[in-house]
Amino acid sequence: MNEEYINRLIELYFDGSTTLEQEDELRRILADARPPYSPQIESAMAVMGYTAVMQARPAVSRTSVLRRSRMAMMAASVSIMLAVGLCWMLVSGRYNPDNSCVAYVGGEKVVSAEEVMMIMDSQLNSISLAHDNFESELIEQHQAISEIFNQL
Amino acid sequence: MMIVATAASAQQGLNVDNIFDGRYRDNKGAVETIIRGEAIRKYDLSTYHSLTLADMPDAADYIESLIRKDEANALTREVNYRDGKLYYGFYRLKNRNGLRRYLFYLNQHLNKGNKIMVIYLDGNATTEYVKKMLK
Repeated sequence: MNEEYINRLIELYFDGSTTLEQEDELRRILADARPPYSPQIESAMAVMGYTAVMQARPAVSRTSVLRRSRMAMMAASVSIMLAVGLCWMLVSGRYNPDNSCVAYVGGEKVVSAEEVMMIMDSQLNSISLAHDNFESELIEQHQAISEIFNQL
Repeated sequence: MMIVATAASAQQGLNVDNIFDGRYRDNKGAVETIIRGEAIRKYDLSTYHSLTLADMPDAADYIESLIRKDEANALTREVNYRDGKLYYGFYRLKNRNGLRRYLFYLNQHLNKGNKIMVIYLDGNATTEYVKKMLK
């Protein structure tokens, strides 16, 4: 095989004009070539070697791209549903991080709202008695002062 | 989507916070009550936080000292002393976060009882309305 023919094939290859058969032929020629290599053969070897490596990488299949895309869409849908649900709970008042109704009685936690409110009522009742005593004493003191001023 | 909720407590910044930090919760004679939000809204309040200590007369001096410090900045006060110690106190504190704040204190040890009681309230309720809650 003469050098002129090989160079012509290489030229067609770089022009992107080779047929599949011509490309296979060129690949065989380059595989059988022995040094010293002409500059044209070296260039062809470098390019065809790169092309071979790229062709060896597994192609991303259309199926896996579609699968990843569907999963991303599902994840986005779930996130949106969770966010909508949380917003609804907040707006409707069903969930309020500031709501609390709990008592700790001698170390025991009481979460029954009814019991907790009863504890509150009991405490306010105790305060009420003291408050009434305060007001009574205040009235007595006021009356005592009034009597003093009346006598002046 | 992230929803971030923050709430600055109107109860912060008081000296009585020191007894409302849960340190007494495990005491046999202690009752700590925390009511916020829906359950207390009918009283025009946002927070009801109380501590009752039964048969712990030694705690009175410390708690009274905290009350006295908060009293110094109170807008109004109704107090009753017995034997030189604070027996009853009702304070309207300075507003915080747009909420009215109140403090009750009672030391029944000075009147043949066995309980010390501190109650913190905040909300939109007026002083008169809070007093009506006691009736």
